[in-house]
Amino acid sequence: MKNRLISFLKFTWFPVLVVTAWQFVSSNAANPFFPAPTKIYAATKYVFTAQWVTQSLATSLYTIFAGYLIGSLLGLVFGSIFGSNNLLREIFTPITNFMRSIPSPAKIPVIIALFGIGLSSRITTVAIAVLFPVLLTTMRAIATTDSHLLDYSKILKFGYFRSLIQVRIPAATGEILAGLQVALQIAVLVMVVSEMLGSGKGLGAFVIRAQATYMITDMWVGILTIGVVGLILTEGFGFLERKLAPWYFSSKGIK
Amino acid sequence: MSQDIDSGVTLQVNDLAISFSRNGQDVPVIDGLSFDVSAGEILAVCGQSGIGKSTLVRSIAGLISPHRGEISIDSNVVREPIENLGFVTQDYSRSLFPWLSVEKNVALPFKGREISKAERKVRVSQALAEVGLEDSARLYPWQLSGGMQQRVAIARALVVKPKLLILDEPFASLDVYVRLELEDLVLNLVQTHGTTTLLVTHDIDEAIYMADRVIVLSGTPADSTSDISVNLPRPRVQMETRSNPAFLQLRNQLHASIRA
Repeated sequence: MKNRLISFLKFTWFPVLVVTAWQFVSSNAANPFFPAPTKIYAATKYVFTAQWVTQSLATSLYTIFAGYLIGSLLGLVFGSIFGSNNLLREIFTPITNFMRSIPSPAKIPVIIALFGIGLSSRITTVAIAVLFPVLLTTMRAIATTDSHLLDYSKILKFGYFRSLIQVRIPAATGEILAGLQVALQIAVLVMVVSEMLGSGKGLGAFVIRAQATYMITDMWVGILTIGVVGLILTEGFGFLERKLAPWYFSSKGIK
Repeated sequence: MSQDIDSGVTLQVNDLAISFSRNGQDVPVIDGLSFDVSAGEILAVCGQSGIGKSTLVRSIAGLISPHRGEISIDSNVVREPIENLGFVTQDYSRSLFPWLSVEKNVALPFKGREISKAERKVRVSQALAEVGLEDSARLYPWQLSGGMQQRVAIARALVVKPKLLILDEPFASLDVYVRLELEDLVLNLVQTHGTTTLLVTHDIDEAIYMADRVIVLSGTPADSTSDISVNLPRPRVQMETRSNPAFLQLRNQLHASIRA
């Protein structure tokens, strides 16, 4: 009981301190851009009763799930293929590096030109942003499989696919997970940016509209909601990766 | 002496030459090496490190192709790894699959083969029992000590009843107590099954203790400079065999030929 309390305090004291300080400073200041946390909290109540706000949240969640899923699946598939084939890797590495070098927000105008500003356009934006980091980390990890494992899979007379699925991909687990995690942060970023650019839908659009109409408290509700979504996704990812590859974390001594 | 029914293969290495390409230049590692191994024989390959011992056994395993000459197993020229090849290297931690439990690692050689689940289970538990790991079947390799991990690798090599067992510095990363124990374990198993065995080692004592015959690689590119029969009685017993005057004499002889 006492230990629980201590570990609870260990994680909560700092956020509580920050929020309290914010509350104290903002309620004694005239600056309208930093409303007190109590005000923001009060605003959530009416903000989330508006149907279009809850729809914005649902749209954002849908965009990020669909975009992330499509992008990371494509990244894993092409990363595995390029990683296990020297010729394909040599052919596609320059173009992949070039595509990756264009920041995702800079790709948005092209995607809007091709797909418009609807939901499928935003999903495509997220998918493309996720694709490259996942593809590159997967490709590198698969290409650098330990020679001992590859020798052994030859001795077992494993063919290309068996060796890929049962040796190279599991051996690359750690790097692939790291790539997927980085891609998740990028997905949240790109989702918000794509919503801010003219779509009128989603949390990003909500924030931009609130700011443009001086609904500063509403803007803060939107920003904090995006933060909560990002946090839940990160925590969810951490939970899932430990379910999917428990051996990896245990073998590295990671709790 | 180990000619029982499931005896191992014969091996011929004939005028073998292997080179590596370094900075665009062909560097010969082995040149003109020839030797024969008879069925069920235990042959040790000695030599200084970097001389090409691992290269030799990797080519016998079918992992690299020779530039000249040929390797035949039971009169068939080796172009790829043969069926039922046992292969154990020094780096057990890199050759066991950390995502599979001990029993699944040992069952790996059965992947893609026609074998009933029941039989596979029996063979795996037999192999684990042979190396004394029946209680660790459900653990993961990284939960075991180095010696136990190497036992898993040995079980994985022996589970298919190999006709040829290649041991590349199998005990080099282990402490001396574990090493002596595993030497006896492997010796006992390969003699029981009549497995033709190639043991690469830089440890002269280990080579003499285990082998029927020892060849020494030396020179650049490497060739076999001596071929010494070990006529020590079997079964061999660690301290007794090692203090046999014949053992000490072989030791001196081998030492001299490695240094030469």
